[in-house]
Amino acid sequence: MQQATRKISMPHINNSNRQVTGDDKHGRGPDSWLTLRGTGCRRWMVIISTCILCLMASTGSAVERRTPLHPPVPLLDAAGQHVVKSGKPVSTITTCSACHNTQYIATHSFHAWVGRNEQFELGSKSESRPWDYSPGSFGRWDPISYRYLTPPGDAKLDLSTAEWIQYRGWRHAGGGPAIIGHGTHPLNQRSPAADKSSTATDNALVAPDDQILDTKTGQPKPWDWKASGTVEMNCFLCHLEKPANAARKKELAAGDFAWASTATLSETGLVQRAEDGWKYEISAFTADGKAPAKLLGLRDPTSQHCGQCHGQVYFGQKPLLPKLDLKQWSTATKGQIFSPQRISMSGMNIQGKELLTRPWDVHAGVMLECRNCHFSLNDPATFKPPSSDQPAHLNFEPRRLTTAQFVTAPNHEFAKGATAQGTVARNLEGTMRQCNQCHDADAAHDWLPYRDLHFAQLSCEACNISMAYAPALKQIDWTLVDPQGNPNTQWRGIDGKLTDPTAEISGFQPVLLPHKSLDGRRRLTPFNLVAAWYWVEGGESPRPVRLVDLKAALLDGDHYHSAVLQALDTNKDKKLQPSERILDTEAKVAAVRARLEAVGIKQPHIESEIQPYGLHHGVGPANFAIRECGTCHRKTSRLGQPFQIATQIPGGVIPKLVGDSDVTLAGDMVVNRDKQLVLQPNTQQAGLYVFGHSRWAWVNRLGALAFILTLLGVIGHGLLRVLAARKRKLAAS
Amino acid sequence: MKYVRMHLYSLYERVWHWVQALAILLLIWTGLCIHDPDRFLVFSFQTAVTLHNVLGFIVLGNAIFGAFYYLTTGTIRQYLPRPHGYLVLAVRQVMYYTGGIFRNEPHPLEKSSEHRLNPLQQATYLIILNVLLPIQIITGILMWSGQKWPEAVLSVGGVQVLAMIHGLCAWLFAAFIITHVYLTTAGHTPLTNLKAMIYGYEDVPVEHTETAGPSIKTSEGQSDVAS
Repeated sequence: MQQATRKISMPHINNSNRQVTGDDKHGRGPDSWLTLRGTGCRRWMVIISTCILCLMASTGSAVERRTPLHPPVPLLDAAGQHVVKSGKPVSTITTCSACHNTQYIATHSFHAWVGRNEQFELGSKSESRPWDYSPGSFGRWDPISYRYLTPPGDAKLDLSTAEWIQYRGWRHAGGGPAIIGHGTHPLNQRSPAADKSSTATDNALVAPDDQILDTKTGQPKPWDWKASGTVEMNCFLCHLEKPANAARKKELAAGDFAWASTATLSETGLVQRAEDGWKYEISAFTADGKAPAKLLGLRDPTSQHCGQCHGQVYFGQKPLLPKLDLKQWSTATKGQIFSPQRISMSGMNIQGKELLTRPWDVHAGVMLECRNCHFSLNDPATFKPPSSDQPAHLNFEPRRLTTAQFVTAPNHEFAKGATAQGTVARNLEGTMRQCNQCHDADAAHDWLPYRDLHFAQLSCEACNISMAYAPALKQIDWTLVDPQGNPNTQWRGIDGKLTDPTAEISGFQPVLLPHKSLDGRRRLTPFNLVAAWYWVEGGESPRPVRLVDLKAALLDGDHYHSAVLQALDTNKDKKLQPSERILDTEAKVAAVRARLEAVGIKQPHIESEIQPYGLHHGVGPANFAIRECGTCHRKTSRLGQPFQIATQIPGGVIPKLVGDSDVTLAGDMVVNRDKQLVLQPNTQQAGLYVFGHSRWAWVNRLGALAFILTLLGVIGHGLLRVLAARKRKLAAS
Repeated sequence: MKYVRMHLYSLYERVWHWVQALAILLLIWTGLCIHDPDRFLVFSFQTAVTLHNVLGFIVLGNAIFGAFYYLTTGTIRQYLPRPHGYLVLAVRQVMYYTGGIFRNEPHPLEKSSEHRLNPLQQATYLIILNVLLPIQIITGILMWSGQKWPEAVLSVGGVQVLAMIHGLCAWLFAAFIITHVYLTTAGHTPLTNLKAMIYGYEDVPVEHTETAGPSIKTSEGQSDVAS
C-alpha cells in the first residue's frame, strides 16, 4: 500500500511517450486515470486542477506570511470591557483567558511566584541567611540588589511589596507576589483587615504590603494599591514580537503597576503614552475592536525575550557590543552572553580575539532557543516525565496532551537544571534534559581515556566552558557607599572601567568547585564567585543595615559625613578618592560603626559572603574544550589555579560561602602579598586524587627517606668494601 | 684456586628475571612521569599512563607464569625459609655482610642450583613477592579498573587511598632495587652474580663447594671444573 502510494506521489514521467508509469494497488496501468494519454476531458481536468492547486498554495503561503497563526485579540480590561471603550489598562489575565487558562498559567510559574509559594519561617533554615524567608527573589536577600524585602511583622521597613515591584519588578514576569504580596488576597481588592497575614496588628510593627519607605524620613508611609493597581503576569513581555520592555520598566518604577502590561504594547502602535497617560490608537484596532494579530505578532518566546531579564542575548548581524551593568544579570554574574556571533566578530576589545573564531555559545550558534531546553513542563513535544515519576514497570509514557490542550493550558513551570544560584523551584531540578540526554557523551569523547572516571568527577561544563570571555562581577562592597548610595563594585576580566570601550577584556577562567549534581554526585563545575561585604544590624533578629540608614550614617547630603571623612580621608583633600573608599583598618571600621550606632543601628558589624554562580552557558565548540591531559594532570593544574576573590577585604572579614548553593568551597582562603583575597583550590579537599597534580606529602617524604637511607647505606657499605679491599691489597704487597 | 662452573638459572628463570626487572624499572619511571609530570614527563601524559598500564600487566602476567613455573618445578622451595636453623644461618649472613665481606671471608652459604638464596634473600623475596608485589598489583589493577568498577575503588577508600598505598610501595620497590643491584656485587667478583643471571652459569670456588656439602650439582646434575 505504501509502495503504491509512493509511486503515485512521485511518478516517473517517460518523456518518449509522455506517460506517467506506475501502478497502484488496484493494478491500474497505463490506461488508468493517471495517464496523460486519456481523453481530452481528463487532460483538461488535470491541467485545471493543477492550476487551482497552485493558486491555492500561493494564496495560502501569502496568507501565512501576512498573518500569524494567532487570531486577532480583543484587548480587555480587568472588568472584561474592551479597552478601546473603557480606556483602562489591559488585563492580560482577562484578555488571554478567552482562549487560554490564565489562572492555571499564573499559578504554575516560578517566574511569577519567585519563591513566594515556597516561603519558610524566618531563620528556620540553617542553610539560609537568618533574615531569608524564601528561596526566590521574594524573600531571599541578595547582596547585589541589596535592599531587603521586609517580612510582615518586622520592626523596620526597608523594601515593601510595592517598592519591591518598583525596584526589582523589572526582573519579574508579574503575577504571584505582585498581585497578593505576602498575603492571600489581591492587594488592590482587599481591606487591610481582610488579610491579617500581611498586615501589622501592632502599631510598632510595619506592614510591608500596605506601606512604602519614605526615603527622606526613613519612616513608612501608606501605599495606595487601588491607585497603583497590581502587576498581572505579563503575557506580552514574552509573547509579543516586540515587547516594549523599557516602557514596562518605566511604569513599574513609577508605581503605575496596572499599566505595565499596557505599556509593553507600546511598540505595536496600539497604544501610546500621552502626557496624561496611555491612550489607545483606535485606528490601529479592527472594526470590531480587536488588536490585529499582525500588530501583536504573538508567538512563542525567543531567547531575546528571556534576555530581557536574564542577561545579554544577541542575534544581530552587527558586531556585538557588551552591556556591562548589574541589570544584565547573567552577564554580570557569570560573564555570559548568549549569541551565535563569533567572538572574533564582536565589537569588544577582547585579548587575542582574532583567534576566538567560535560563537559566544555553541547552542546559540546552531540556532537553539532558550525554550528548546527550558521548555514548558507539559509541552507534549518536548517534555519527558522523569523516570522517578513513573511506575517501575513503565519505560515509556504514551499518554500526551493534545496540542490544543497544551495551547489552552501551557504549564509555565519551565524545565530547569540544578544550579548553585537557582535556589527557587528546586523541586523542578532535573526536569531539563542534561547534556548527555541530547549528546552521546561516549561517542563525543572516544578520545578520552578513563571516560567514566572523568564523567564521574567532572561536569560537562568543566571542560566545555573553560573560559568566560566577558567580564563578570567579582566583589561588591556595601560597607562604604558612594555619595549617590552606590556600592564599590569590582569586576574580573577587564582592565579598566566598564564604561570604557577601549578597556581590554581578558575574560576569566572560572574556578572549578565540587557541586552536587542531580545524581547526588559532587562534580567539579565552573563557577564565578561573587563576594559581598555589608553591615548587619545585630540582636535577636539580624538584618542587613537598610540603605536609608547607611546613607544617613555615612552621608551628609551629597557628601560624606565629617566623622567619616576624618577617619578615611588619608590625603586630607576633604574628599574620598576611590582608593580611600575602603574600610581597611580597624580605625576606619570603628568610625563607620560609630556613625551607624549614632543613627540608631544596634550592634552593627560587617558580614561577608560568597555566592557561587555556576557557568552553564557559553559552551564552546569541541576544539575550544579542554582536551589536553596536561591541563589538569600536572603540578600547575587547572584544578589548582588560584582564583581571586577580592582585591580589597573590607574590615578584614573573610567571606563564607552561602549555605544554599550545594557547592563545596574546596580550598583555602589566602591573603596574598598584595593583600588580595585568593581562593587556593585543593583537589584533596574536593575528595579527588588527580594524578600528576595531587600529592600525599607524607608518602613522598617517607618513601624518599627510605630510598635515600637505602642509597646511603649501599654507598657506605660499598665504600667500606673498597677500602677493605685496598687495605688487603696493600697488606699483601 | 679452582672453580666449578655451575648452572644456576634456567633460560626461563633468566628471561623471567630480566623481563620483570625491565618492566619494574620502566614502571618506576613511568610512575614518576605520572606522579610528577612537570619533572619527569618526556612524552604525553596519556602515553605514560598507557605504558604504565601495559607494563603493569606484563609484570602481572610474568608473575603468574613465574608462580606456575616455580610451583610446578618445585623451585618454589628455594624461596621458603626452612625453620630448622634459619635464625643461625640468618645471623651468620648478617655477620658476613657486616664483617666477613670486608675481610674477604667466604660466603657463609654455598650456592647450588637447589640453594641459590641465602636466608636474608629468602625473607626479602618472601616479602617482595608475597606482600609488596601483590599489593602493587592489586592497587594498580583497582586504579586501572576505576573506569570499569568504580564501586570497587570506592569500597577501598577511593583513588586517594589506592594512590597512597601504591606510591608508598613504589618507593619501597625502588629501595629494594638499589639493595638488590648492590648485593649482586657481593659475589666472589663484583660481576659474578650479574653474569650468572645473564648466562645462567656461575664459577664457584672448588674448595668452597667441596666443603660446603652435598649440593654441588648443576641443574642437569653435572658440574664442570675449570682452573
